[in-house]
Amino acid sequence: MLMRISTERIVFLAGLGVALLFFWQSVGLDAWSILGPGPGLFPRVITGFSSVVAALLVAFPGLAKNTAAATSEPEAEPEPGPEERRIFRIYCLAMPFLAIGSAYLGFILMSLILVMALTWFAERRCWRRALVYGVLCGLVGVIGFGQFLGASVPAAELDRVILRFLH
Amino acid sequence: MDNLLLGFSIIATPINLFYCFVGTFLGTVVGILPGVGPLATIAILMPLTVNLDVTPALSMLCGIYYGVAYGGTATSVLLRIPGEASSVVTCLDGYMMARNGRAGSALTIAAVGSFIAGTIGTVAISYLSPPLAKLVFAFGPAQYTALVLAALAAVTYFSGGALLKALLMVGFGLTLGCVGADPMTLTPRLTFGNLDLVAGIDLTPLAIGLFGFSEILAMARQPLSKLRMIPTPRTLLGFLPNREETRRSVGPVWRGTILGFMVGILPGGGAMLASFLSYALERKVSRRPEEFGKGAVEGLAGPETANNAGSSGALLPLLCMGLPANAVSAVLLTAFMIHGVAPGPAMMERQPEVFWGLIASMYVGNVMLLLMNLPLIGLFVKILEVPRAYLSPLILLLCVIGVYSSGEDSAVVIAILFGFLGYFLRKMDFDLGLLILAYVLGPILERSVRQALTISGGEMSIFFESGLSIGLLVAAGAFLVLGLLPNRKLALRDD
Repeated sequence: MLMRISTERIVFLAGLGVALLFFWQSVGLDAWSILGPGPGLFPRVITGFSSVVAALLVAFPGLAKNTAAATSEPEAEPEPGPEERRIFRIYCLAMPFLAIGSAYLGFILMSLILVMALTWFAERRCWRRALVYGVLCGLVGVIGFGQFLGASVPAAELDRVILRFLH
Repeated sequence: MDNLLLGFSIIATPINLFYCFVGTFLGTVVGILPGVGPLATIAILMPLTVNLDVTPALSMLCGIYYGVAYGGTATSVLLRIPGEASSVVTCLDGYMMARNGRAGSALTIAAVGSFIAGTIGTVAISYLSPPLAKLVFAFGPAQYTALVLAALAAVTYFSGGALLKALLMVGFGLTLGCVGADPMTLTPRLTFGNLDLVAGIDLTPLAIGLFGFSEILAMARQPLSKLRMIPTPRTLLGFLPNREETRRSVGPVWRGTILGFMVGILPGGGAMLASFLSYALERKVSRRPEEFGKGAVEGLAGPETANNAGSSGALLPLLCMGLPANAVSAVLLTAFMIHGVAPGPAMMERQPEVFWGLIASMYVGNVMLLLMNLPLIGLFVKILEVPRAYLSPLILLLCVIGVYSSGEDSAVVIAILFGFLGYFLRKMDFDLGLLILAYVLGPILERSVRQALTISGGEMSIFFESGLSIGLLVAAGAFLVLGLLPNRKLALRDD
């Protein structure tokens, strides 16, 4: 219980830090101008309000538990086993990969690597199926969404070659 | 009536009907899948509709919105897994009916009740919109400020979590809405000198991050379990409820429709609150309260009807006043704006073809949902048998396309950062829907405040000059005070 409260307080402290950072930014803006309320008035009020709320939560973490849901026993979440933890870590790594992949690899290659990482490596499915599935996802993205629906899809040389081949 | 006929003439083209079908189909699928909700789906598809005409685009996005309530029913009844939040109550009696061998009846009662609620809700929107739109002219900037504050306070109250945590989410949502160039003076605000942030934080990466990426992370941490689905009847006859079930469902359907629609109009109302209140009401008025939780027809028919009526009701303030009642309708508001449509009284006067086309699409969409959901529901729920190993990369890739299509180079990075933040906040029991709603309402609130203060020359008394704004501010204060009271029995999230 003590551990739980202390984790919550850390979260509220982080919230307070973020709110104060935004408040510090808003203080440098004009609250009033000759035309009336300036660009800083609303952000200052809002960030000030957020800072006060976060400070109250840091000072009195018990205020975060004033409902029926909180007064009753919380539903125990099953502790993830080693396999779930391993899968979760791979998913976590896949997220930043999406940022890199969409910037440099193009959609087909990114889809292929992502599907291999999640379907084959993380979830331990057959690698051949994962490979085919990854290629299919990539092609559907580039041709279906990019070409036919006119959506903006991350493109690299491979994607452009495929599209040229279609034309 | 002429306006409605105009709407039907607009929607009755193959392309509009096709996109209406796509929307309702996707809504059903999204309602069934526990991993991705309507908010993330609308956010993903929003940029993809940019190249479409306004009527098919909005028909599709609204179809997702009201179609979700249908899809969520099937998993609640057959698997005891609520596909989305407003179907949680259906798990109680719907699942027990299915276990008692009445799965077909339960699905039919839910689908027909949803159809009646959706259709009556749409009729009510058609007839209430014009007078309500005229009422909007009574709102000046001061009254509008008070209205938005009352709406935020009500949503905070109904969110059911701890009030201060909810207020913190509202504060952060409003703050994120301020990031970027000031709309009046173009001064960069809260950007920390980062030029990428001068254009502001776009809703698409924010919503997809908080509701798409974070949901996939949450799914990844869950242990895999084999689903045990109750089979649906093999013939259409098996879906027909018997005379006793039909008789017992008539009252709850009507009560659920009226209650759900009225709750849906309220800020913070919507489908989930409507379904919970309807369940409580049915239990209260029932002659057999002991049957609730054991397969009572009333416990299924009332909430299932109410959640659809609530979804329809929540569209009324959005369409007439441009004021979203919950997080999903806040995202819909942004979708309207992307297509150059400003919901409110002007929409009815300047773009009647869009307004009435959309209303007509809801009538048609409800019929499509009924036809789709009765005979094909057994097929739809098979989607749940697709393993996570194949489903999650697909959802992630769709999220990337949605974010990338929003046009910003840094959008994918922003979405992923919000994905991790969303996962963490979810674990700490923060309500992310409040953050999104406040983010969308923030600029509206700021514009009203600044207009009011400009008119008054900086005098704060302008907010207390009319009875309407005083009433709304008192209501806002009352919601906050009530929220501080212990033992609130609401724990409702509409995300």
